[in-house]
Amino acid sequence: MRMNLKGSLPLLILHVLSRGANHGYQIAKRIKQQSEGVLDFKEGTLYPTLHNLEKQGLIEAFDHEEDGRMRRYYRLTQNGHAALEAERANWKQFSGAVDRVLKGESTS
Amino acid sequence: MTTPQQQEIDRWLDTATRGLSRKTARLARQELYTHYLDAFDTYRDEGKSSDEAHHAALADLGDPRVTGTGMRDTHNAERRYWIAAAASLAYPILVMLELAGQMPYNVQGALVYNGVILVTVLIMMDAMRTLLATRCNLNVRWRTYAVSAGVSIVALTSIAVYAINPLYATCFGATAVPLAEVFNASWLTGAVLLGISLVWLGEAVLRVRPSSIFFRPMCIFAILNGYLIAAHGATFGLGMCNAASVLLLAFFFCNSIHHLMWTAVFYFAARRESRSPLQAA
Repeated sequence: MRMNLKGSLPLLILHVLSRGANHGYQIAKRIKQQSEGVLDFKEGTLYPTLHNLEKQGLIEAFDHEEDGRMRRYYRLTQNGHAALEAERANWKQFSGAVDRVLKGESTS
Repeated sequence: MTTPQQQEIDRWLDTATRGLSRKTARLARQELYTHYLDAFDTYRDEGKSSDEAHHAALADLGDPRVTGTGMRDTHNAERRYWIAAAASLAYPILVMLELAGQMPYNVQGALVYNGVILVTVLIMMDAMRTLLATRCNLNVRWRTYAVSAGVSIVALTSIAVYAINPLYATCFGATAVPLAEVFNASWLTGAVLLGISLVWLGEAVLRVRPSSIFFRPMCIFAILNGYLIAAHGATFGLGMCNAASVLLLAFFFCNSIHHLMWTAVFYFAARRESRSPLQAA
C-alpha cells in the first residue's frame, strides 16, 4: 500500500534530521525504509520542501564533500527542534482522535 | 553513464530549475544531480544495468515540472509577492477612476480597464496559489484557474462589446440587436463562473484557516464578492438594469476592500520572504 504524504513530509524531514545532519538522498531513503515503503513520494519533491524549511529557519544547510561528491547537508536549528515538538504533539493528538473513532470509543 | 543518459538527466535538471535565479539554479541543479548519481550508483550496486539504473533513478525523482513548480514557489516568492501587492492596488484605483468618470466609454477605455483587471487578477491568482501552497500547504490550483477563467470571460466579453458597439454596454438584456444574446450568454457565464469560483476558493481557505486574522476576513469578502458578481451577471443578463447597477456598485466597493486587503497580505508576505535565512545567504 502506498500513501500520499504531502502534508506530513515536513514533519518527517524534521524527525529524520533530529537524529543528525543528513543530505536529501539519505533523508528520502530513511523515510521510505522506516515506513517499509508505505510512505512513498517522488524524491524530486523533497527538495522544494527542504528549501522551504530552510527558508523558514527550521533547518540550515552546509556543504560537505564525501566520496568525491559535494553534498548539501541539512541540520535542525533551535527553531526546528521547537517546531518538531509542536508538530509531534499535533500529530499525536490527531492520530489519537482517529484511533478513538475507529475503535468506537466515546469521548463524552 | 552514456551520452543519451547524460542528455536526459540534463533535460530533467533544466526543467526542474527553470525560472530560478542563476545562483539558486546552480545550487539546486548540483543538489539534484548528486541525488540522481547516488540513486544511479545504488541501483548499479544492486545489479541493474546502466540503462535500468538510469531509468529507475529518474523515476524516483519524478516529474521535473512538479519539482520546478515547488522550487519556483519557494525561491521566487518574494518577487511574486511584491508584484502581486502592486497589482492588487490597481483594481481600487481603476474603480475610483471609473466612478470619477475618468475612464472613457469607448473601446480604448474598455481595453485599458478590462485589460488591466485581467492581467492583475492573473498575477494575483498566481501569487495566491504560491502563498497558500507554501504557507498553508493548501492546493488551490484549480480554484485559482476557475477564478482566472471567469475574469477572462467577463473582461474579454466587455472588450468585444465595446469593440462592436459601445451602446450594447448600457444594458445587454434591454438591447434588441444582433449578437446581444451571445454577449448576454458570455457575460452571464463569466460572471456566474467567477462568482462560484470565488466562493469555492474562499471556502477552501476558510476551512484550513478558520480563525486566521489575515485569511478569515478576506475569505468572507471573497465569498460575498462571489455572490454579488454572480447576482449582477444574472440580473444584467435578464435585463434588470437597475438591480444590476446596484449590485455592480456593491461589488466594486467590496472588491476594492478585498483587493486592499490582499495588497497588505502580499506586502507582509514579501517582507517576510526578504527576511528569510535563504535570502540572506
